[in-house]
Amino acid sequence: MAMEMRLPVPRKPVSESLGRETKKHLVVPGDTITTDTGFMRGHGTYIGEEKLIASVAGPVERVNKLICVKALKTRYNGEVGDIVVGRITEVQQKRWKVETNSRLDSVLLLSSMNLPGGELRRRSAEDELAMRGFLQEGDLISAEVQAVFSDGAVSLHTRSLKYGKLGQGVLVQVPPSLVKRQKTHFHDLPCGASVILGNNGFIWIYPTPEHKEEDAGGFIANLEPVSLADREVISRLRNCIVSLVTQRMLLYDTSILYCYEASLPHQIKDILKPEVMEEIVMETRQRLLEQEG
Amino acid sequence: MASVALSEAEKVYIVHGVQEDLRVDGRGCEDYRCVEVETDVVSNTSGSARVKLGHTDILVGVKAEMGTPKLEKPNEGYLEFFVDCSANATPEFEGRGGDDLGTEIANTLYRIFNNKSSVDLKSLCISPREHCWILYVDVLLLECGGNLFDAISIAVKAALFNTRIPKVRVLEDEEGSKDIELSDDPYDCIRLSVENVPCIVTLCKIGYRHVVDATLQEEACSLASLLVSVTSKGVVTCMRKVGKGSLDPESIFEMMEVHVSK
Repeated sequence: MAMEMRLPVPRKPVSESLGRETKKHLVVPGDTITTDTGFMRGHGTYIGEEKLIASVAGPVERVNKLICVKALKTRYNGEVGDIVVGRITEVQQKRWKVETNSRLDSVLLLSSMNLPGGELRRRSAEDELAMRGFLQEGDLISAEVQAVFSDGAVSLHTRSLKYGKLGQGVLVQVPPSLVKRQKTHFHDLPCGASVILGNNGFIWIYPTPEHKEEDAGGFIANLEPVSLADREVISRLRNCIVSLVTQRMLLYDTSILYCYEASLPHQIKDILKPEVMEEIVMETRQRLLEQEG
Repeated sequence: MASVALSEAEKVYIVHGVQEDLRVDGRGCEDYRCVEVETDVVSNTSGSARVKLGHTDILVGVKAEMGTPKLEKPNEGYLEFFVDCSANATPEFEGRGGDDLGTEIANTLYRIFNNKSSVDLKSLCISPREHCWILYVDVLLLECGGNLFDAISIAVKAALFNTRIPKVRVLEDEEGSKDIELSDDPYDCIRLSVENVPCIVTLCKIGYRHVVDATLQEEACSLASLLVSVTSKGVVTCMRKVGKGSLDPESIFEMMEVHVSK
């Protein structure tokens, strides 16, 4: 019942505890990368005073003669085939505008959306008028990137039954660079909840549905109360993901699962305390290193 | 307040969770997030404090200046509050968007401190009817993450605790004109007693239960909230209801008990 007050403490740098063999060359905007003019400049760099200077903060990546700087904290840049979780911001004439933490709102065309029942037909005027019945402002959807326009805006589609409107659950927003690219982003974790790791940094945690509903196509939201045990698992997963993000660890199903198991001795609300966070992420890191080596 | 869009299913999930005393981040209905308090952060003020409550970040600076007392209270100094919602907090606060919220918070702060026991205003008086200390309290909202009032009241209390007011001596000339002399020693100052400065506790009503320290998502699901400012001895100085929904009288009594126990 009592409030806990504490003084701010400086954050410990991660490299002290790790002891990595190869140190990455980190730069901040304005740092000189190299004075050698034989390199081609890639993203995140520019030429000033005959030197190659970085324009974003991050590690320098070099592929033969191409030097680029990969920014650590950016907005999401869409690639074809990525899975994203987005929130509907606008309903327009034949499409929806979806917010995906990128520079421009993404677009979901009516023709790229699955009709309920899985029918395949040309979209009519009645479908256009009934758009708000499918997806309203504020709804969350999971979708795949179909194409990227020249200005960087992303076009989405939900042409498979595993995509569609999301029901009850918790959304966590993380920097997009921390989500690892994997074969599948839909995971059913053995602890009792399922998670969708959107490439755009939106992570959706939801209770595992008991039976897969093939016919609905994900439009009818299940508004029944979720059981307390499921809720505890979801809250614990959410806190674990937040602690992994504060310690800048890559997010994928194994790391989330190890972090969950490391956090079991603690109470759910204690995981948000800085010292507990460091402890469980340290343990997760150890287990991941053991698993690799 | 800054608002965040939520889908119907998310709101239902949050409301059901509150009914079962398990919120989205695992806290119970009466648990606060961890608070980080730092004082003496701004060097050219008389006192300052910075409070971080989850994603909410507040910076308060107190400047003490000499002025004339108010006509109806010639023996006391007074406090002036100004709240600035910076555009860093959310894009909604850009330009003049944050002014409404700023004036609302400032008015609430005036009401809280509008009594005799919170701050000893007589100690701020230098010479009656002529000189007194005026404390300008400036609040800056750096980041908005829910539960603004609580964080602001903690920050104001910490900043007032940190305030150093230099000691003055009033010298009388032969002709009778008074001369004010400030002591040069930076450590020779009076400190305010903040034992009776109240703190605000906000209770948001979500569904049939109330929660303390709501996040932005929880505030989006709640229709009404009750703001009570209490001192450490349990004395209530101000009460306010915010929001469009209605509060049952019985639930108000329950909430008051929670407030006093905090």
